[in-house]
Amino acid sequence: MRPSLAAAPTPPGAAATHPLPKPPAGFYSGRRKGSVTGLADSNSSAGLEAAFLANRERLLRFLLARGAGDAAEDLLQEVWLKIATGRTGPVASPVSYLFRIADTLMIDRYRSERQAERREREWGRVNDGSTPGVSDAPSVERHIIGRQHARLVSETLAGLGERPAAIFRRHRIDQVPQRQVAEEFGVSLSTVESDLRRAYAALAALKERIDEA
Amino acid sequence: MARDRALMEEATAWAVRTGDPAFDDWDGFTAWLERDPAHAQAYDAVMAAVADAAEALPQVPEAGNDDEQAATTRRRWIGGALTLALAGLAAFGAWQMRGGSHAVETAPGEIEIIALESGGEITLAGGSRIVIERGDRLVSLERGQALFRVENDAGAPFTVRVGEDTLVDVGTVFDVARTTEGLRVAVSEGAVVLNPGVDDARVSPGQVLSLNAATRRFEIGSVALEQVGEWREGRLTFQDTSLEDVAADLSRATGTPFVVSPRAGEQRVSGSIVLDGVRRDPRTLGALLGITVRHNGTAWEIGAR
Repeated sequence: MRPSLAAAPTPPGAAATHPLPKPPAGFYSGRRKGSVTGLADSNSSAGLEAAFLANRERLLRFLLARGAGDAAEDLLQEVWLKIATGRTGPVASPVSYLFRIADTLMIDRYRSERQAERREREWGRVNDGSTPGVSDAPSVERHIIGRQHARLVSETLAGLGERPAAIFRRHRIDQVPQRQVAEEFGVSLSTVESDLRRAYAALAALKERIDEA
Repeated sequence: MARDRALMEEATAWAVRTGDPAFDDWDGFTAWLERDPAHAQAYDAVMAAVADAAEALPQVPEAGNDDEQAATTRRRWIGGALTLALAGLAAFGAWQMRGGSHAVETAPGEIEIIALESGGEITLAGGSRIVIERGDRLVSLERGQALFRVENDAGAPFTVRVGEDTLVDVGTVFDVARTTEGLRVAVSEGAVVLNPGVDDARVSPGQVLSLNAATRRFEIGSVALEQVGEWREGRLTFQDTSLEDVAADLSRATGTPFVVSPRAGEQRVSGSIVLDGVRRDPRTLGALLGITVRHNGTAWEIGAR
């Protein structure tokens, strides 16, 4: 006969053994027990959704300050969709995570607007009559610009010296947190920050030169 | 258009700060932005320039972190002591010597959340055992599975030992399981490094590393972020998992013993299951995972179909 499993669940805590003596006070700050299904409140997307609802006004204010204007509510909705569709794992700091999503949305928006402007300019150049009939010219041109861009970026970083260039790559390309980068390079966190500031400033200046060209 | 120099300097400083995962002064950042609409424009210009530059640079894949080379033969095991020395964790030895560890153990079907003094928490799955060293920056997963959410502290990295292997946390949220073959670690946020100085395999968000402790080979695959630690919510996902690991995971999570049929063979299974359903009737597993399920009098036997 098949035993009924539902009728004989393990009572929570009944078989738990703690063979070592009670830890000294302050060893760790607390423990909670629960069954597998009793922890629904620790659901990661539920935690983010709660953080979103509790910080809705702060996020909206942030988006407005970031220059979202009339689109602020729409972008807030986009933040909500990103977390509600459950494409996230557990995060350490839900509030920071939400601000970061909002900030990234704004950066993406800025970048795609600039790209559209650039495309329009290039299209205009091609259709101003100097090279009629070469319809794929913009994309070819963009490709060459892309390769030149990579070379210019490398040169710009190299111009800052070995350590700032390496720190920039480690943080931005390998996505290593700044504190960890500081540890790896054996320098202080403020040195990492100052190297990154120099790299960012040089790259922003490079970008301005390219855009004006 | 040349932007005001002081403004660009401020924008650059904020860009460096917000670009780090540890940044949390969003209210301070908002206040700076609100002072002048030009602030947001300058910040956007810097962030876009840096993002463009980062994308333009050819990416150099890190050793052991190359998806195209999924199976990597790890360097020869040099020995536990040397690994730890190479990890360069000066604080590590100190914790060891101070002694005073504490074990936490869960029964199958049970979950326990341990809040850490150093910040963060460990969620221990059913049928698992963990030993926490004093100072709680070093833990040993002796059995089972746990989800770690820890504070990053470069001065005292959070270290998880699994048998002879060492995982050093470079970030914050990750899930570690002992498997029949060795260990499996999946990262949701931040990063984890396997055996620093020896393997130096870095596991990034959305990646899962499986190590075979006998052959010393590891593979890095991808995992959906929402699947990391999903067992806490009563769900298990198997991806090309051996029947032994399926049985172990099920026993741990449900508190009901599952074993592999002696004649099961070498089948591996993939699929996602909700534990409530399995608890009600283990036979539903058969259709979900494409395996056989029968009760042998003491435990549920799963086997190849």
